[in-house]
Parts: sequence; structure tokens; C-alpha cells
Amino acid sequence: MAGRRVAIVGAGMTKFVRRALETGQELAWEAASKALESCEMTLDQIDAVVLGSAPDAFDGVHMKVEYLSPGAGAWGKPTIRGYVGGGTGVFAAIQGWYHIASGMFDTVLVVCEEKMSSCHPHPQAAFNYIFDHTLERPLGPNLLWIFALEMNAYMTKYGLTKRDIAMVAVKNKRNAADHPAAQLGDPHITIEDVLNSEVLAWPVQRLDVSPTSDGAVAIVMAAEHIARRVTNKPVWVEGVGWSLDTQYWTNRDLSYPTYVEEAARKAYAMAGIREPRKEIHIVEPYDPFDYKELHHLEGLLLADRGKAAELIALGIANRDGDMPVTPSGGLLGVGNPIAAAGLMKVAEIFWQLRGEAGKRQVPGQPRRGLAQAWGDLMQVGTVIILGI
Amino acid sequence: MPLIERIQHLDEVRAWRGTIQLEGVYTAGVAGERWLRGLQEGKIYGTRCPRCRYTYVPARRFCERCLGPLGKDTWIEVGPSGTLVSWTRLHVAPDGTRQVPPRTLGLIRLDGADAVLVHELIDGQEWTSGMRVEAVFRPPAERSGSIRDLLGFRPLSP
Repeated sequence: MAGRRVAIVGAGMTKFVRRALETGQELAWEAASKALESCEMTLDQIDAVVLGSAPDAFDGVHMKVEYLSPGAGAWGKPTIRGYVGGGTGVFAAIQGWYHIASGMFDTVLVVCEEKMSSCHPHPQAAFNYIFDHTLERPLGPNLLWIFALEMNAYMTKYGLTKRDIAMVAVKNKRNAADHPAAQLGDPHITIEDVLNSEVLAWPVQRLDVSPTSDGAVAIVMAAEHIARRVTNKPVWVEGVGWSLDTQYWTNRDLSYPTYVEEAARKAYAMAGIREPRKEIHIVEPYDPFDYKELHHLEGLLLADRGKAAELIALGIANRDGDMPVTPSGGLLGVGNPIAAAGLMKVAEIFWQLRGEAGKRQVPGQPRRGLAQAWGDLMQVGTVIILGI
Repeated sequence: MPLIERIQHLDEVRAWRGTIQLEGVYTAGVAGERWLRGLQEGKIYGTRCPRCRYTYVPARRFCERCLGPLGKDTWIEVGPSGTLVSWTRLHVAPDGTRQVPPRTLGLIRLDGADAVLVHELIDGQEWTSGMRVEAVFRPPAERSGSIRDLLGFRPLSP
């Protein structure tokens, strides 16, 4: 294990909603103050701040982390922005880890915020700026059809059906029904609902996709000597990893997320994990689309290639299954305020391992969990492994 | 918690509409300009990295795998036929309205290339991954040195 031991000692989040009346600053403040409150710490006990947020265009404020900083308690503190697109939520926690592991700081407040509703008529348009201006933008690309191409490649390679994949959306939206902060929880949703929803870009339909959301999440991280004073239930960072694939999205292996495998292997090596399928008890893989949960489970080496759908079909991935996957409800159910959604997954592992997940609590006292996110130009894998 | 879904009423204090006008003027780049001039002539070029044995399409000026330069001697013509890697049919336009008729887009690995090109699929009814396709260019007089000088790809006539 590189550096000093680091634990998460507190977490807090806002509700995820389609349009929050709060400003981004107010959302950040709500999450940050709840995280501090959860471990009975005050801002003067925080050494540094990591503030994660995805594209500036969503909030419609350039250099938005500087704008958000008052809400994240950054005044007068060393502050850094975490920004690897959708991978930001998990990456910000990794940045918090190395701030402390390095010996530079003892306590870090990690805050992730996104307010996508500011962007009209739809935040999807902001993504037009991520594509090659000369060679791709004239074709009018958007993320829905990029991922439709990827989903089709994945289905074709392994002979998967729409039904195999729709099961993920059903599981996650049902799980989210037990999350007090969820935007799209639905205890009664069925596979037919997903298969009958509006076709956006075949094979992607409305209920295959996570919503746009406003929200914020925060965690408090501390060096071991502080963590043990703050709480009797510290949740340790056991492994981290991240890796970047090519910017040329057309040239990636669209049926397998190599960038996730590279990140996962680094995290497993650091955590001393040799058999992840036995040693990881709960997983929160990034699920902005239902097929991406399957994709990512395979990249995390938690399922054979093309076989992740079986974990869902057999109930292994259910909250009471052998390897619960996305017990929070994920992006599909809780919502997808980009950077905040990734950190929500880290917070979910934190609450699950402490036995504080309420109605979402996974039985059997899980001892180790993994959260993963994916982003940049759909090319970064970020992985964190937590344990008690 | 006051976080609930509300319809935006711009006549209230609750929300303020703001627009900033900005326009981008982008350069095609050293390799990009040459590649687009090739399209104007009805040719699709790639650049092949001799060290990594990887052919980029559109042509690039350097290899991202070794950071070696891809000079004039590495330019090769690829296609115009290739293999369909994946495809999608769009039913929703960017503004949320129905796309009528739907657009179909595909990923094409041109013969001789390792990289994959994204473009429109035209003149076809049923598309399947793995099928053979060919590039369709605009008539020469209508070309402007744009990615749109390619109309798209159609099934390769047998």
C-alpha cells in the first residue's frame, strides 16, 4: 500500500432532482455541511478541499469550481479541482486519498456537484463541444448515438438481447426506490416498461438511459490517526486505479472497456486482491446506461466477457444476492448529476460497509466494496476499493 | 428539503435567462487540411505508423501510441470500401423532437485501415455489423473540403 493509510469518515448528499431550486453553490454547501455533520467535524478541522465537477457548460459558469468554492468550504484552504468528465466522482475521492497518503494533509473534504438543469434546452448540447470540430461535429454527433453504436457492438459481439440488458435498468430503478435521495426510483418497473419505452437511437430506449440531474455529494477523508479519533467505524481506502484510453472513440474496442480493466488491475494490486470475484462483496459500477453496468462488470473482471448479464438474470447481482451490484440504485435510479453521481457510489459503499444504508442495506455484513466511474471523452476508468 | 421538480417561471425571481454569444473558428490542422483536400479529390487517406503498424483514418500527423511523426511517406490511400463495425438509427433529433425520417449512422473500418471512421449510412434498408460497405462522395463540383464531401456509406454492390 502506497503512502499513509487513509479512511473515509463521513458522507452527505443532497437529493438528486431534475431541477433544483438551489444554486450550484447551495447544493455544494448542503452536501459539504451534511458530510461534516455526519462525523461531527467542523470546517476548521479540514486541511484541504477537492472539488469535483464535470463540464463547465452544464452549470453555465466557466471555471465553475472557483464559482462553487464557497459552498465547498474552500475559503482560505488549498483547493484543487477534480475533473475527468463522468469519471470525476470517483477520481475526486482518489485525489482526496493521495492528498493525505502523501503526508501533505491530514484531513480533506471532497465535494462533487453538478447542476445540469441550467443548460437549455438540454445539457446534451454541451457535449457537442467534446467532438472533433472539423471531422465529427459536422455529422451532428451526440452521446446517445455514440453509445447506441457501442451498445450495438456489445450486443452483436456476445449475442445479447435487449431483454438481457433491460434487466439492469429494472434492478437499479427498483433498488433506487429505497434511496431517500433518488430521482427515478420505481418499485414496480418491469422489463416490458423498458422495452416499450421511446426509442431514442436504436438500440437505446428512454429507460435504458439515466436522467439529467442536479445534486451534490461530499465525503470527509482523514489520515489514520485522525480517523480513529473521529469514528469507531472508519472505512479504509484499500486500492485506487485510473487509466485513459485513446481520444479517438471510434478506435476503441467498443465491446470491452479496456480502460476499466487497466484501472481495476492497479486497484486490485494495491489492495492485494487476487480473486476479485471472491474478495469484492459489493460493487457500484458506473451505470449511465444499463449496458454500461454490464460492460463495466466485465472490465472490472467480476464477470467473464459477455457474461455479466447472467449475474443479473440469476439474481446474483440483487441486493440480497452473492455479489450485490449497484445496491444504491445507481445513475439509472438515483440520478446522474455527473460528478456527484460518481461520488454517490463511493458514499454508498461507505454507508453499506458501516451498516448505515437503511432500507438499502446489503445483508451479511459486507467487508469490502468497489466503486467505479467512467468518463472524460468516454475513455477514462476510475476505481476505488474500500474496506473495513 | 426544498428540492423538488418545478416548472421554470421566468417571470419570477426564481430563474434568470442568460446567453453568451461565442463562435468558434477552428483550424483543420496540418494533417487535417491535407486529409480534407484528399476528400475533395475523392480520395480517403490514412497515415500508417511503421513502428506501431497502425493506420490512422482520418490521417494524423503523429502516432499517439509512440508519439513518432507520421510524415509524407506514411500517407496511404485506404478504402473506399470497408466493413461495418456497428450502427445505430436515430429517432430523436437534438431538440427532442422526433427525427423523421430517422438517420442511420455507422462505424466503418475502411480496407487497409486499423482506425474506424464514423459516418452516415445511406441507400440501405437492413444493416448488420460485419457487412461490406462503400463510400459515396458528393459530385466533384459540390465538394468543399469537408467531412460532408462524403455523403456516407452504402452496401457494397456485389
